[in-house]
Amino acid sequence: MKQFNYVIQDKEGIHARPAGLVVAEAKKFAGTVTIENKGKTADLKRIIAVMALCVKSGEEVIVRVDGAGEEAAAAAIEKVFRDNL
Amino acid sequence: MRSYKANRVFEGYALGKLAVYSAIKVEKTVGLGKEKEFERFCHAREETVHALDTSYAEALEKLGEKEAALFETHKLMAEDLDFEDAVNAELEGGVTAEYAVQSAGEQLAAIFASMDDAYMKERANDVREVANRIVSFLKKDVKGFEVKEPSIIICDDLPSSELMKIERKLILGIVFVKGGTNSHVSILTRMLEIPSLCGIDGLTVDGTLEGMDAVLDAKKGDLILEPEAQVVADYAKRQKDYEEEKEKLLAFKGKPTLSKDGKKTEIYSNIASSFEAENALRNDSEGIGLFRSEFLYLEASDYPSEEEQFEHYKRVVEEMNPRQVIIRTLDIGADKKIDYFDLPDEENPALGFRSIRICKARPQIFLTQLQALYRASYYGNLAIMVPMIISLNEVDFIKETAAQARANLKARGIPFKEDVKIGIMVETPSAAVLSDLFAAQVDFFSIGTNDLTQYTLALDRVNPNLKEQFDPRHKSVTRLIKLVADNAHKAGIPVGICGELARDEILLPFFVKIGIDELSVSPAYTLQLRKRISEIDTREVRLEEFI
Repeated sequence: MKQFNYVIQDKEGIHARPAGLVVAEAKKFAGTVTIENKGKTADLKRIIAVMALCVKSGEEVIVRVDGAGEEAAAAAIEKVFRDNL
Repeated sequence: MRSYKANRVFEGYALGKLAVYSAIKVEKTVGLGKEKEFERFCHAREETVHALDTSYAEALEKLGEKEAALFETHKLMAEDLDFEDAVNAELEGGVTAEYAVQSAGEQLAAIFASMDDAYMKERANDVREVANRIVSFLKKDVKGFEVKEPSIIICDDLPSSELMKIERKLILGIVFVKGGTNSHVSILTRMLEIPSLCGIDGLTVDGTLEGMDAVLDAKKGDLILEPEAQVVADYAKRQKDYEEEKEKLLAFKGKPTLSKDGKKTEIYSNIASSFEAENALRNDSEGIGLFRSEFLYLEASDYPSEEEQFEHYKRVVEEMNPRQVIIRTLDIGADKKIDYFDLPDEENPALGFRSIRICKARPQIFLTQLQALYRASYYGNLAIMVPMIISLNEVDFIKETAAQARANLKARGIPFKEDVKIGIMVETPSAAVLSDLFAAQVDFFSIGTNDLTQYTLALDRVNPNLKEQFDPRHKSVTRLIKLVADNAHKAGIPVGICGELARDEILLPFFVKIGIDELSVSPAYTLQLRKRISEIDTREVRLEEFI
């Protein structure tokens, strides 16, 4: 399993548009991807669940990527976070 | 001829025939069995995803990447596995796919609707819209919505994807009979500058309206059905004049507000909710002169939390940045009553327990609000304004509470700006008469002309029998305004006016002459006011005519 932590910089938090971008990236990967915030975990491939976490600006999330090719997938997902959130 | 009152979404006029859009109604009926209905769902979902790709491409072209991206998100919602699970759970009951999709949509929408965050609350509509779109593909027998000639679209509500499908030149106007002013589709309607209305009581949208002649007056907020010929002619002229005037005003967009002889004023906006900042910007407002925070209290069923208030303030402050946003603290009591405040009945409410007087008696409410304001200050250019001031000891109280708010935030490790400007509303004769003393203690003044007139003339502003005598141009009022402006300038602090008197035809030259720094009005009047100020030469204005 590969994991990374990221503090949300976007002033609106994980709102609809960037949520769509990270979910789209996560869906490219065959294994499992989860996101954790404030003790709650959601499947990063499920947009409604990700938005329902209601992650605000300045909060930290932990993303866990598990499966074949997790290294590259985690790097790609982390890049989407950095570029958009 | 019938006419209806409505709320305005975007200003303007439209004259033409109605085109009816009606959402598909879904009844709870027995389906073809779980597997077959699931298959129908999957098929309709595929078509929806395909259609959303088209909407995305259309929005990208018409509105740009940022607005278009929402359709990508809609696509992910359609394909979402939680959504699919919810549909499956519904199908267990043997219902049709249409019904299952709609209830699944409602369940997930409810999650967003219950959130403590204004932005997320609005997302409930996104989920509903996606569900409706899938339903429309399931209902093959129902023909899609088509507009063939330029029309006024009338609907209960319209999915934004439907709006994007219609060619702009075919839309004369839109009436959202059940819609709100801040839905996604209303925001898009404003961006596309379509004259539009929403929220009409007592009008049923059905086939009988199709092709009916109508006049939409989104300046006043009227919808007239089957207008008489004279009314149509009258509105056609109004529309023409309005369009011409609008064209002329465009020349003032993006320009500073200067009188003929080069005296600078700023035109700010009065707004009552965080969603109106967009409106202020579109009208080229130079800041927010009055953000009425009481709406947060009026809309709630209990005291709004610091977090909730913070979200709203932050939204406006960020959207307006670097422009200034002056937020007025709690102003309730008198004609604005709220149940959970549990205020006693009063003999004389205008002179009663209101605004700062409530804050002093219940300091925790004020402290919560100030903490929310300081937190929001971090995200832009925020200033705090306190209403109904009469004594200097009230200013001491404000400063002490503000210091405590800062200390609390510091202890919690939350960022804020130390030097947030704190000003007062001058709306009592007492504050005006003592304005020299107040000027030494606060960072700015804002004159509230309605209350200042009411208290100076001892005339109840809401009493219909006194309407004739209620004269804000009374010399006792204008003399006080001049006194306040002079004292502000002597102390080197700015002074604004935030009542609608700020755009008074007759007093405008007076305001510019005495150097009012900022006039705050409804956003729609911004350019008009800027144009009128450009025609004033203050060297020709004779002060004695006004005071």
